Amino acid sequence: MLQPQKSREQSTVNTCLVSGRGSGAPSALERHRQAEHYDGRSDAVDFDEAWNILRSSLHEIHSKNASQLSFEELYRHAYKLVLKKKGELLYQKVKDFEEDWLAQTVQPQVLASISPTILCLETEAATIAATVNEKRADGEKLLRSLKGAWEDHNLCMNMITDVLMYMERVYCKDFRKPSIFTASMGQFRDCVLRSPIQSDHDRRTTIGKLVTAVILYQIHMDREGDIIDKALLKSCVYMLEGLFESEEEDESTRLYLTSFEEDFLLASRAFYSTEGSRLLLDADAGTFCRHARKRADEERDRCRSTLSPLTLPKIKAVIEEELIRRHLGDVIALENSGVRYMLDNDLVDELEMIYDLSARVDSDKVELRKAVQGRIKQLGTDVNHAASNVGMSGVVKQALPKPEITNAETGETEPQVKALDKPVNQQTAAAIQWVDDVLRLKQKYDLVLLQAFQGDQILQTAITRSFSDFINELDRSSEYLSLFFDDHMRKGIKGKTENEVDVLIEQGILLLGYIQDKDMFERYYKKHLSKRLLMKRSISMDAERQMISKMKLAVGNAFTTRIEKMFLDMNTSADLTSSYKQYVNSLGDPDPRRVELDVSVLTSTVWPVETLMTSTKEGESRSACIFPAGIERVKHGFQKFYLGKHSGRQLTWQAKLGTAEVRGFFPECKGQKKTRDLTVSTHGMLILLLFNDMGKDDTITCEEIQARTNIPMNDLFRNLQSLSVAPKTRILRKTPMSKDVKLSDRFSFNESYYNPAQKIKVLLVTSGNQVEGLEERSETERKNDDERQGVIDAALVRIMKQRKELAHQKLIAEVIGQLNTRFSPDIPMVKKRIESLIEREYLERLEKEPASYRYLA
Amino acid sequence: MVDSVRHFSYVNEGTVSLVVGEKKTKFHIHAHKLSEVSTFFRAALESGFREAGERMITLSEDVETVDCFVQWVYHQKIRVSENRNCDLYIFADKYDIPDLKRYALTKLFRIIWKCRPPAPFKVENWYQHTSATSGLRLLIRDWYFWKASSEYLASKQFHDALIQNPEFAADLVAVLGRFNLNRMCPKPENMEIEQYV
Repeated sequence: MLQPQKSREQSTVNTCLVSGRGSGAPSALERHRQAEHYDGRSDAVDFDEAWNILRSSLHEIHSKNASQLSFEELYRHAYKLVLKKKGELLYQKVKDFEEDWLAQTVQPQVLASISPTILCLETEAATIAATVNEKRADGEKLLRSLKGAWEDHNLCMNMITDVLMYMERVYCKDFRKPSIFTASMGQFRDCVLRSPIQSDHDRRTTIGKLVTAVILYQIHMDREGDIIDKALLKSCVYMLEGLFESEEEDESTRLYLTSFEEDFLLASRAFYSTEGSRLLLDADAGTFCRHARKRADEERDRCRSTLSPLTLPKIKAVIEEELIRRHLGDVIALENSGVRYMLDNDLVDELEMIYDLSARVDSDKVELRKAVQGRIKQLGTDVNHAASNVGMSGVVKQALPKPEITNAETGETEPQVKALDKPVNQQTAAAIQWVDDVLRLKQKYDLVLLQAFQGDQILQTAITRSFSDFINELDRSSEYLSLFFDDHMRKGIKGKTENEVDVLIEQGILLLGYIQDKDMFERYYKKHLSKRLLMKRSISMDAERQMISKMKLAVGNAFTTRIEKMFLDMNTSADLTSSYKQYVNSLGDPDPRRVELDVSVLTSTVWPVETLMTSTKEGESRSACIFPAGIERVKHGFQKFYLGKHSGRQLTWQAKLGTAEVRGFFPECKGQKKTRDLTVSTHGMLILLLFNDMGKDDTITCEEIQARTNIPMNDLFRNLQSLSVAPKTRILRKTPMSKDVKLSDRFSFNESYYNPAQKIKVLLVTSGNQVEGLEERSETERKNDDERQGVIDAALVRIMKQRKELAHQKLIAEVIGQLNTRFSPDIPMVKKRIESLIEREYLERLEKEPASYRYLA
Repeated sequence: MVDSVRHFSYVNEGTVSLVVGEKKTKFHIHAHKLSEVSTFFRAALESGFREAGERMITLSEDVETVDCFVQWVYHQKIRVSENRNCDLYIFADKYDIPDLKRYALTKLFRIIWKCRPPAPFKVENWYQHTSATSGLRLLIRDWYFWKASSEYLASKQFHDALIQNPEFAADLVAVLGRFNLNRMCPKPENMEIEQYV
């Protein structure tokens, strides 16, 4: 059959050659052509002949016998038909052939692989009882058959498209027809996937739907932990991805997207919805998180290995919605395993998972944030309670409910009833304990933030805010922090390395950052620092200076200038003292019993002079103490020396702040040496010197001492107490012997005083820095408020001077903005200051809306 | 996969035979060269048909044309007559060798302004082996438009030839009509090869 066709073709080519050589004599050839041209039937015959060859070849190709066929020959036939303008007919014939083939041969093969067991997958009617394994095997049978059909079809259509290449290039291009390959893919979709299943009565089920059901069932099995043939699934998915709804082959019309993905997502949603609720009931938070994360990873892998990467964002959204977002709040709040439990038990890994899940579904991590903040707030409040319970001693303690028990991390013990015994010391210890507790809490949460929350910005802010909240909730936090520093500067840093001291200071400064009322802190710090400096209680001046420079970095220059000035005063005082000594020596004073003087000259505006001075009761005169003649002489001498150097200054002597070294002779003292060197307060020295002039058994009443020294009553009592009541420094005898000192008590010199040490420090009762009493406290607050008024005034004037005119609201906002670094101003107070400035004619009120002010120069 | 390497080396590259004419003349040519220039040859050698197994492709063209093709494959240039160029063009069109198509057309383009157009029976032959949008057809049409004398166009001989080849007649009418409408037409020296390719 091929032979005649071939020879005919050969002859045409030969005529070509003759004409190609371009010899003359065209007439014979022309006649030949004419005959061919006018013979309409010959064309039709040509087509049928050629098509018959092509059709049988197509059949051979589909039957996998292509290796017997000559490509060149088939190509030539198709080429000829297209040149003869039979392209359209050829195209249609091929399409018809393919449709026939798919419907008659391929479809029945696929249908034959459908077992009854899998029909019920689609209808979800479990009428046929089949084991999981049977269902799997039957499902795989269908998939495998379909995969085979699809791959064969692809292979054959590639070959056929090659044969029809000329048709594609000329006919399909000129007439804008889809390539025959594309067309045949559409046929596969319609004739195989969308062909109804005969046994199905309502005729809605198609092979395609069944395939979807089988794939979904297999995925379900995979999720349940069964093993499935992923490669097989992948090739079927690949088929769905390669097929389109229309011949335009638009990306969004892939069958995978239009007829599979939605079902998959629906099934997944249902699956994870059930699983999420079940897990929440059965499992603890850690298990839930681990599982959710595992599921998310699984689905990601599934999209890579079994399904299409196109689905990844969508299935991710399903998991995040069904498994995570819906339950995350509950998981976080779980009583015995939720975030609170994890925080309390340092379950960093689990917290990290919770964080990971939260970050997936909510960039603000609201739930996690709330939980962490709530816990910090709670723990912080506990710490606050512990500190203030000690402070308020018994009275408040009974009124308050028992604070939350067992804080593993703070190790806080219940405030002791002993607090009643030594309330002030106990309170001071509690203050320091409070700072320690807060620091420990802070450290813990820093670690959690770093290790579990990956240093997340939002959580960091939230944690910082929580700390700031509870720290500022305790109104004494500034005082406590300053006491903490004081304690460490006096005792704590002894024997510590430079690095340890560094760390300690850093931590304290960190807390300072949280404190809103920095002016209060400054007030306390100055008070405590001045005592340290004046009484030389600081262990290391280096550490003090380091603290200041760190504070400067953390809270700013303005904050530390006044404190630095205090250090400067101390330095100039030391210089002053030594130059005064030189000056005295140069005078050549021969008196060997002359009192040595060590002076600290303090600038009154920088030092908290008021708080350092005796808290005098209202009405009590505030005249200076009476110094004995010897002392008075030295005092005059120095005053003359100093004023000679700096004229126009005024010196006020603060006897209360000084110390004195006195050598005492105790005639009836045991042991060889009868003298002892006593370090006492200046007031104590004044008292002791009185006894120099008295007989052995003479006594003097408290009232007389007061009259002769003019020491303020309060200080006198305290000094007498430490000189006569404190067991180790009983230099005076008191009658009657009792704990408290009364005006009528009589005192005499204790000649038989004995202490093995040569140098004895007579400690003043409550001389160290301690927590303020309630009265003192309100006094400090009042003073601080006074100072704030001045600061607010200054800020108001500064702003108005610059702006000239400003609306009320804006002015308030600017003031707050300016002062925020020091303290958060009280709005009513700002309003009052504005009123006051208007009264004093710095500002005037403008009659317009909104309410505004003008600056009056 | 290793296409990029193939450009640089013939070592160990297999050849295939092109079998041509009654005497079954054989041309041995590197398979990758063929696949490179033509999708037809690539399909023939890779698609699983008989040629792929036999490493032999029988072509129905004449020996000279295939000889030209093989020369072109290895040298990218050949010296041939204008008629041969047309055959080569048709060969290239049939077997989808775009570079050869362009080569042949360019060579034709260079000479058409210098000589008379080919005889109508040749034109008819070429028309039968090309499709409506083919560049060769456009070129021949313009060739006639510019170079055929008005006496020849009016002759009985040409008239008969047009009856045999109505597509050619239609093409000529179209180009003449355009000339009439616009009262102007591009000069030959202004024409570009790109208009035909």
